[in-house]
Amino acid sequence: MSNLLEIRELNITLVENQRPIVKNVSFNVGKGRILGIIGESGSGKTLTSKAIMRLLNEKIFTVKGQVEFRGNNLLQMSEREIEGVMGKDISMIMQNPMTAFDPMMKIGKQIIETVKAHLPLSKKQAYDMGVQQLKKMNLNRVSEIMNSYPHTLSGGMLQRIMIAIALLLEPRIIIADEATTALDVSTQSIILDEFKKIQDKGISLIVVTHDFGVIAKVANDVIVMKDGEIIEDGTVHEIFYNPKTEYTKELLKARLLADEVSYA
Amino acid sequence: MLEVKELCKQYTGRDKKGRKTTIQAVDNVSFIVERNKSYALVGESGSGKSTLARLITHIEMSTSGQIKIDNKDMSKMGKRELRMKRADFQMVMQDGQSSLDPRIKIYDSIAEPIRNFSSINKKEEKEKIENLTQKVELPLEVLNRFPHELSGGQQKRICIARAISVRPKFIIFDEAVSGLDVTVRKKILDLLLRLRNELKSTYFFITHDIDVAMYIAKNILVMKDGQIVEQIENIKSFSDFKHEYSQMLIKSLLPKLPSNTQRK
Repeated sequence: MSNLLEIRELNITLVENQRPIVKNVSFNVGKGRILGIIGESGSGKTLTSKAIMRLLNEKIFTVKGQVEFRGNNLLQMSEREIEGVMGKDISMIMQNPMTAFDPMMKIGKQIIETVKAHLPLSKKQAYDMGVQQLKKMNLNRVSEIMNSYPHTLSGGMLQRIMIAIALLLEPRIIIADEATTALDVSTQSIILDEFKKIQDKGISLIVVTHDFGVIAKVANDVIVMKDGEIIEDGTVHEIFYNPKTEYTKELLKARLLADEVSYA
Repeated sequence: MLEVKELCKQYTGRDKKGRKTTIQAVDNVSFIVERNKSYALVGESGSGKSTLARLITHIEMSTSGQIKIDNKDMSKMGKRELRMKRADFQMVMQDGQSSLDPRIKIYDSIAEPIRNFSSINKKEEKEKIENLTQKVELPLEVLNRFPHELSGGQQKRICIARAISVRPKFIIFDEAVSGLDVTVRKKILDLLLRLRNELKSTYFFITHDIDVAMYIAKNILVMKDGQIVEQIENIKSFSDFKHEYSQMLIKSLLPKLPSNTQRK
């Protein structure tokens, strides 16, 4: 199995008081695999994914270590180089679709702008690409959506639009940070099925979540984070059937319904 | 104790072209809540479950239909009577932080309902508040803090302490455990189950998670598009759900264990 992304000794500290927040985190993301990062609020899982995307403010956080992607250390690239990679090769789906879109701009225009920033296409071509991609996301009345402002659409619709945009540029890796946490169960199920289809195209995913159900449904590999450190890692089967740390066992026990209840 | 009969609530809005449209948020809903039982209302976003809660607590007025409390029509109650009834009907909301006044200390937040509904001296009040804090399993130090200094789970516990301070007969939880980490969610639910034995209150639990509903309540109402599509008493297992919408919700639940296809 070849690795697409290799994270080595990632350390994040607060500039203000040198307090370490993420400590010596190392992991790999295999090509075409789904890596689940699980932890509770404050475990450092979101900061880790933001550090990979180079989204952390340097005035607040010091990021040290290596993020190897196709032979380059992403942490050492210039602003210009990074712009070519982010969005194009690595894209991110955020937790809150309501705040991830520009509220003053219609969806269609936001899609066209994203496409045109990376590909030499005309407005019309970019628009058509957007329409095609939205249709693939099980969305109806796509031309109406393209002509809508974000606040007129539901959270589930916006999340699907965000995934559509992330897929438009055919990235090699998608980071989904609590992407389904705020959604209804039925929409969550649709989105997670979508993740598996993305994987079938050979795209890797990092799925950040606090819910072992999400991990059970989509992940191949898992890392468990607590207080900024990786306390356990392995394949999804190792973690579920043979957890090593008490903390992982406790997280697994937080599922509500008893074992004998089988999910239809 | 509570009887809801043919309850309807319409909202009037305008569509994009400025024409008046009516939205039937709650559509001919009838059910009976008996004392000392636990109920859960399950539905997805937009199903009208929160509107229903706001009607029952008289925060909003219904368009038509009846709400009877102890065989008395709520709309015929005077202001004073209604105010005293409010002590019997408490509500715990989804967002702990915005339910608490950010400018006043936790101590006074808990004291507020007590001062409104009873006349006890300062010493008794202090004893009562400390007792409540212990009941929701928080250290007494939190009483001196402000809401933003507490975690989401702690804020939720404070909201519960406030609600139970007046020994209500009926507590409505509107998505009270959504947005919490799964481990914190389980702890809060277990706390509520313990408190219920002690308080002898009736719980009315609104949630979009069918597993939360089944964990906390024996009687389940499923709501869709403003209507109650299914009502089950003394639920035992998933197979008690007959309506196709309920079954869809169950199907969307996340698996407890990974499927074999992920074994690689």
